[in-house]
Amino acid sequence: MSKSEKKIVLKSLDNEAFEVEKAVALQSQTIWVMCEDKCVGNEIPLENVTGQILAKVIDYCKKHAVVDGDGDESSEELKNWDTEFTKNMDQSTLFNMILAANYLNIKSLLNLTCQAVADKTKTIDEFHTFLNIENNFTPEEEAQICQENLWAFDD
Amino acid sequence: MDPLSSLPDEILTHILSLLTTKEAASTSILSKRWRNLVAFVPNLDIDDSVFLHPEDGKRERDGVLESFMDFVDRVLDLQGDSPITKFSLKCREGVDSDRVDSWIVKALQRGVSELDLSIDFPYYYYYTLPSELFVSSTLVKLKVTSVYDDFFDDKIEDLLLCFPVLEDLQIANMERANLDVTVSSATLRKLVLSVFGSRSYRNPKSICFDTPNLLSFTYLEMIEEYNNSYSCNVRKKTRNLTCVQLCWQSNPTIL
Repeated sequence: MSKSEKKIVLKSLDNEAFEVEKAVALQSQTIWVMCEDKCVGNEIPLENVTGQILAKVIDYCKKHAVVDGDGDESSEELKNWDTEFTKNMDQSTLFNMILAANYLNIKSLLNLTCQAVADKTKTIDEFHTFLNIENNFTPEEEAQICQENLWAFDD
Repeated sequence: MDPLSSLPDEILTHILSLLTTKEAASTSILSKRWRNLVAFVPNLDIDDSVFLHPEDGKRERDGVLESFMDFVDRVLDLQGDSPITKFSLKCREGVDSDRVDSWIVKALQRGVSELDLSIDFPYYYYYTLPSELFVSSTLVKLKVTSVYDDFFDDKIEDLLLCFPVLEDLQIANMERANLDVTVSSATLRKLVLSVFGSRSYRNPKSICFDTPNLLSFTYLEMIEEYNNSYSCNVRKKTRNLTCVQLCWQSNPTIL
């Protein structure tokens, strides 16, 4: 394989181009399938992901490609890196990362980002605020659901 | 675009699957969209202990256990016939054993491949696992734990003849047979057994495992006192067996 074949260009929704190692990009099942099918050249357009999010996804994939390849970093270090990676993400970035991981089909990143949401939403109030959910039940409906799930609610 | 409203249901259920059963169940009060979302979590993990310990006495209050059991019924009903990959159930005394059976049977009917059962029913329940379990053609992995005796009617040698496709079995607190026995299974790849010896403590009989495809074997037995009659021979026939852990322990603890 020549040097140029090892690289691949990912193009974001807002036309930002990222040149990455093929091994890094192929962690995405979606990109892997595209490459297998030879339906794309060396440049892959990703119509659902902005440049800002794609840069973060690539950071993640680079980190994980190195570790999987060389084994020069312990899984403990990688875990800490993952924690730091999502720790200070604001809500909107986190959701866009989830959508990108889902679209690009990168299972470990999807798990990581969903876990980050799960860690921030342990109570009903946290759910309402973090996920911006508006309660659209009538008080009667709400009382009925409470009664049905008596065991699940602290009172 | 509000990113949350564009998170598809399968992502939201993925997030729910990372919460405890109780946290996930409580989200039904968030909004109409979330009302029944919890029922569509791909791997069902039902655990009654999340509401036992934090608030003492809550379990015993009127309607609490009933509402828990209704919740499990409702979740399984709402899912209809959609396949279940993994079903974990953790419950103890107070939960209706007939309903526990019906949950396990429903999971089996929907092609569950992995069952993790931790059922702490005391002896006066006379509880045994439903017979549908032993003939399942989809069950690949089974783990049964209990602080009491195991819930198998059969002794181990009969037990393993069932389970047509089982590859991974973990049983805690199995009673040791009082006869020399041979245990056969052509499908089993991983076996973890914790056994207690009952009457044969002083003069243990042999257990021979005829499991040609076994890769990993862990065996823990509770004994009164160690002597050289406790030993293990591995025959060459099991050439793929790469991991063997044996332990004879005189302090009864749970594996």
